[in-house]
Amino acid sequence: MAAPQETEVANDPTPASPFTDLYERSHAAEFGISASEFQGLLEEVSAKHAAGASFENFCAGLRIEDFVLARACAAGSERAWEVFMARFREKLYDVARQITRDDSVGHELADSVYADLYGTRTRDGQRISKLASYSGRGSLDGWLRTVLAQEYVNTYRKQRRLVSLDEESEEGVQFAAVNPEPPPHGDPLLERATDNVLRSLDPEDRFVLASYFLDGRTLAEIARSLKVHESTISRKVEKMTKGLRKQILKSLVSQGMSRRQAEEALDTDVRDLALDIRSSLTQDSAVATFSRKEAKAGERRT
Amino acid sequence: MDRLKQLVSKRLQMQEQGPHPNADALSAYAENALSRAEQQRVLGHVADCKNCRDILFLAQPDSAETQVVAAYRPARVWHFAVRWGAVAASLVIVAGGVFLTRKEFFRAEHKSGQAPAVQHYDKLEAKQVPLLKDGYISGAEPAAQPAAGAKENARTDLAVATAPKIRPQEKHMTAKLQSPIQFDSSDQVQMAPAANARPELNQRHQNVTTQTKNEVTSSEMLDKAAAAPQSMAKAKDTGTLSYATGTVSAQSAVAASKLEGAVLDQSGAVVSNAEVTIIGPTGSKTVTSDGAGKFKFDQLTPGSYSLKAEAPGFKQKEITDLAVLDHQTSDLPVKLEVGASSSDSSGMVTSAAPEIESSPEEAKIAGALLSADAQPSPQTTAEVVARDQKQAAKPSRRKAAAEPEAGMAGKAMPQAQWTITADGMLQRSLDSGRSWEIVPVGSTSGFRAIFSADSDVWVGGKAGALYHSSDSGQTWKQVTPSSKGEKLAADISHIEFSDPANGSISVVNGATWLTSDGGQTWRKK
Repeated sequence: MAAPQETEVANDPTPASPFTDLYERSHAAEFGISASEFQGLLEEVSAKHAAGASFENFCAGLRIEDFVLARACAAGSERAWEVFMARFREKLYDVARQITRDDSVGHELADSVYADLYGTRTRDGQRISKLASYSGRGSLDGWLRTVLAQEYVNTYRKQRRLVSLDEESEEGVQFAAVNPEPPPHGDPLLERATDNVLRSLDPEDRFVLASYFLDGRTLAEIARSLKVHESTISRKVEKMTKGLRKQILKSLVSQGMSRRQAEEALDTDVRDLALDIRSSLTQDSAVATFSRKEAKAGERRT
Repeated sequence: MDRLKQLVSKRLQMQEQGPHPNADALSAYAENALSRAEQQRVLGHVADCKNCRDILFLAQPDSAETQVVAAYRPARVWHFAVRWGAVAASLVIVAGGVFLTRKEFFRAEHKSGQAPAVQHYDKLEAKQVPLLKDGYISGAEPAAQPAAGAKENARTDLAVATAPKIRPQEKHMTAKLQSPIQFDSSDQVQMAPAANARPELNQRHQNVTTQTKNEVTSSEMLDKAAAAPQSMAKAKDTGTLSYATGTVSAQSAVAASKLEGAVLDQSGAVVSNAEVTIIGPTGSKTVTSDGAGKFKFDQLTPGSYSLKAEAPGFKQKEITDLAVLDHQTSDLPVKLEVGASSSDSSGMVTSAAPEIESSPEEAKIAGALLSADAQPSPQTTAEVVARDQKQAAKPSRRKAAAEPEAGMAGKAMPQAQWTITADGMLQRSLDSGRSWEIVPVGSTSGFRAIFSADSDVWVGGKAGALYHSSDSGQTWKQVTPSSKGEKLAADISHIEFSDPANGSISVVNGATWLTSDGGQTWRKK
């Protein structure tokens, strides 16, 4: 999409009425995007993401202003970049600092993402800007946050595991390299029963379990993520914790175990898992998780 | 249970993961902008993929930036109704149990022999004597007096000896007047015999006279005093019922975004054929008020609207910044002022009273009216009035719970979300974060902390700048905390209120300022 001439905009036919309003609201003309190009962009993104919704409804739900700004930036519109920088430059650095909790790393992360947004790689002589992958379904602000978080998880947290011995001795054991010891195997029957029960849960319930038990997220964090009240998550966790044991035991009994055998298997097997949990959770989790704490407690007990 | 958690954690790590969603899908998921199927697909992946969960959590806005109004919102009214309904039901059950137990007790007494019954009767009789002596029923049969050796006669004459079972209630009923009261020319009361009264009793009633009107009034009062609790309870029940009905009607309106209301003139009379126009995110719509002055807009897109109402003979009325909530019905009374009209349509003012939804105050009126229908005693009315005055002077919990809804209906103000931008400007969203608007507050822009609960919003920032709005940001008041001559001048880093009165402000130098009266006075900690 080359930057169009102003005369082309003037000569474009007037778009159909549903687009007129969208076109005006999007400020596409300001960035040199003609009505027909605008319609083409909408059709492209609709074909990819509409998923059963009608074209009009899908377009009406788009963050049209953000979408056009992103696409204009990806196309190299200078005016669009001016607007983008004015709106998001400071925010980009602030969010990066918030994610990394470190000024210099945050600055570095924001620079790296900024380069991706501008497009440092080329394909067929065209710059590939990450902004071209923004569909306008969510806000551009949220998308930028996610891109920063993704870049941080994919790149920086992996790099943190490659720590020099000097750094390790200076900073402490938390910078120690991951122990690649394979996890011990538990009772296959018990594992299968647990897997069955977990698979039978709603995705949302699994998300809550994993976030709370595995990632050590707080109830407030999970609640904010699911847009519900903290007490809802608290009740859900309590209810699921009570239900899980019953269901696993039931599943074990249905596989031929007696009730007593099932209870013994559930209790015995898990004692052997302490080491496994510790090793698997220390690999890249920035926060102290529930399981790590439990593992340490278990280690002290043994 | 901890071991179970470890097992679940381990198996959660082992769950199979599909292809990772890209940043676009993840961010749209976080903002609820995906279709339901896609939302479930992304959630299913995120539940099993630690990396994507981490991305989601890291990409969340800082909790200090955005605060959803959820802090001390009063409990929903139906919770209130269910709770008190359960209490009332349990009281009824307990009372029923006690009644049945007592019934059995009396039966057991009668079965066990004559002596206890006589003893019990004596007690009742002893209670009856003061009433007679005090002149509540003056001249009411000397035979009723406990003359020696006349117990058996007394039992017969008092007509309480209606049955072998002697119960307090039946005994008490003998004090009730069984025929209408009439005053004769000498201001004395004559009681007409009741149609179904027994002859001997009729004869006695005919002979019953009172020395003064006051004495009979006292007798009448006795009856009405007995009836007063019933009418009070009835009025109270009706009040509660009307109130609950009003609330239910407000809640049951949750079907689609609607705006409805009535066009009224200054005296409260309805104005029919008034043109009401709303202008909002999807354009403008115009309707005409019906014969009852009512207007209604259905199928509205949630957002900010402005409303214009005009009728001949009235000035045009415009209401701006009218927020229509998602899936809620906003009720808006529009009052027109008399003046030059801008159109010549045939607007008519009718005298019909405007129809207004039930409110606690109306419930009280309904309760009072019902009491009036039941012909309450002066005490009853006085008590109802006193109760109303008390409620008016001191807002009850019920009223307090209803006020936000009434306010909501009047102002149609949605739940606002607040954020502070990177450059310290205050932003508000009225559509669950879809769009944000800068809210100008004083001349300060370096805000760093915000707290919001219901319509209360506190925002603070550089050099102790602190502002408070109690109407969701429509008006702001600068608050300057000071304690013992020292003013808050440091940068505010955190604001928190546990309720509208009690709150604390943390500043960057580590000090904390506390208030327990909604910011009127402060103390430094």
